[in-house]
Amino acid sequence: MTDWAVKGEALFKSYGDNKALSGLDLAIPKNKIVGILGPNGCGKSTLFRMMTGLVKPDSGTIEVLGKTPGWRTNREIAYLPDRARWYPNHSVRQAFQWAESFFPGFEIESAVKLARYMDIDLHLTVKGMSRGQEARLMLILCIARRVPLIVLDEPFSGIDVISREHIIDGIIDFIGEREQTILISTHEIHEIEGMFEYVLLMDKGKALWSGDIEELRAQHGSLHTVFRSFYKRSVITNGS
Amino acid sequence: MAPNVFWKLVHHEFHWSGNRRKSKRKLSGKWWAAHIIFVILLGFFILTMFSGSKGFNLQNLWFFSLGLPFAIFFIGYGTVKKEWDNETQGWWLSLPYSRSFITGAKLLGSLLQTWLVLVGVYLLAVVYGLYMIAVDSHLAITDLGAFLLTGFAWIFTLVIFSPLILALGMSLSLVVYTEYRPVTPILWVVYMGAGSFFYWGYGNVNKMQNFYRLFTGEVAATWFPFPFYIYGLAVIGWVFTYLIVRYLGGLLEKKLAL
Repeated sequence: MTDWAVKGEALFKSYGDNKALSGLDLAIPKNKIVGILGPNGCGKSTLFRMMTGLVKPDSGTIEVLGKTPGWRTNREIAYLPDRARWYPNHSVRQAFQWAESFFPGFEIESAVKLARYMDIDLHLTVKGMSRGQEARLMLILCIARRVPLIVLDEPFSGIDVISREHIIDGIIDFIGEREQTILISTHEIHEIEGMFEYVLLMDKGKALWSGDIEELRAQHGSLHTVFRSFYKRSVITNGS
Repeated sequence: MAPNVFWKLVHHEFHWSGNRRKSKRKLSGKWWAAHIIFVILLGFFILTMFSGSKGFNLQNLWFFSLGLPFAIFFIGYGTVKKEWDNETQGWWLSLPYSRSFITGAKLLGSLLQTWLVLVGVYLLAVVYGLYMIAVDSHLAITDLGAFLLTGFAWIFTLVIFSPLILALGMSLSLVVYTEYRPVTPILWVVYMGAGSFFYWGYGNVNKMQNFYRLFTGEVAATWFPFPFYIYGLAVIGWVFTYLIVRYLGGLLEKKLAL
């Protein structure tokens, strides 16, 4: 059995002239809450799509839970895609029933409990929801799965700051007892910083730094300071 | 793969009618229903006026349904496109089932929708035929029989060809999201050209048994008025449909461009 949830070597992926991944190496340990952080366009979403078999690397190798990613490995992954929406005609309850039918490991009782916690009415229809409510629903659809790996691409976008803190606390409580690896890409580092145990910092399709967050903090201070020091060069380049 | 999951997926595809992008600029369900009823009533009214004219033949009305193959094509096209319109493509594509499996479920779901539409069109024709017999003294019960028989033959032909037409529609929609996107304009020309050629060509190739002669009432209506090779072609079409679904599954597996 491998100790890595995700392991990649020399990953390259281009879309025409745009290089999404440029020789990314990564090794993400199991059973940790991992922050995949970096500025827009640094390759986070491409990496997540690669983990779920949606895109193939141009070169390099990637293993998820010890296997090459594809539709078969998605049985063990709960994936919240980037900029995703949910089926507009579904009610919350129908969405849960849908997930129970098609997502292995989905626990409808847990989903109902989470919906109550996140203040989502089960009879509400998606097309009548605010973006924040829809984002919560999609988050529940992933969190309520008992699978070894959860991959959340910008899960808090659209959720207001006050609700966000409340939701993050709930998630920490909920997953606290479980043996799951959770990968989260987000720009909302202020609220979520306390949740991470491990961090992968990316820029221009490469890994800048990866390791335990305590180690990172010991070296560079808070994540906000880390961002300022690691991406200083990018900021200067963009600003000039 | 569990057949139970497959049929649940087919059920989902069959029932899923919402399109977020279109609903932004379109009317609510009630207004849609009101518009459709208005158009049907208007159609009844206009056709009733028509029927008074000299030489009116009930069978001519089937000319109005010549656009149905194109409508079927766009049901196939739309069933894939709505995933992107609704921004649900990430959920759909990351389902833990093979891409041929999920594409096949989509085809079957839209096939059931198509058959429902075709049955609906035929039932509407039955109602209209009965209405015309009641209001127009020039029409006899034999005219109604010929009208419904012609309609049956035409709708049945569409039913057996609809899997292939849907698969072609799906292929045009899916290619856009793969590395073969640049081929899309060529495919549009080929598919639309092939559709037009079918209408134009079939009428010319077979001068005795074609739907133009059938719809004008020049040939007697029967249950199966078309040459038998047409039905053979439909069976070959099912084989092609299967191959297209497998090919589309492979495209999504290896050539997806997100």
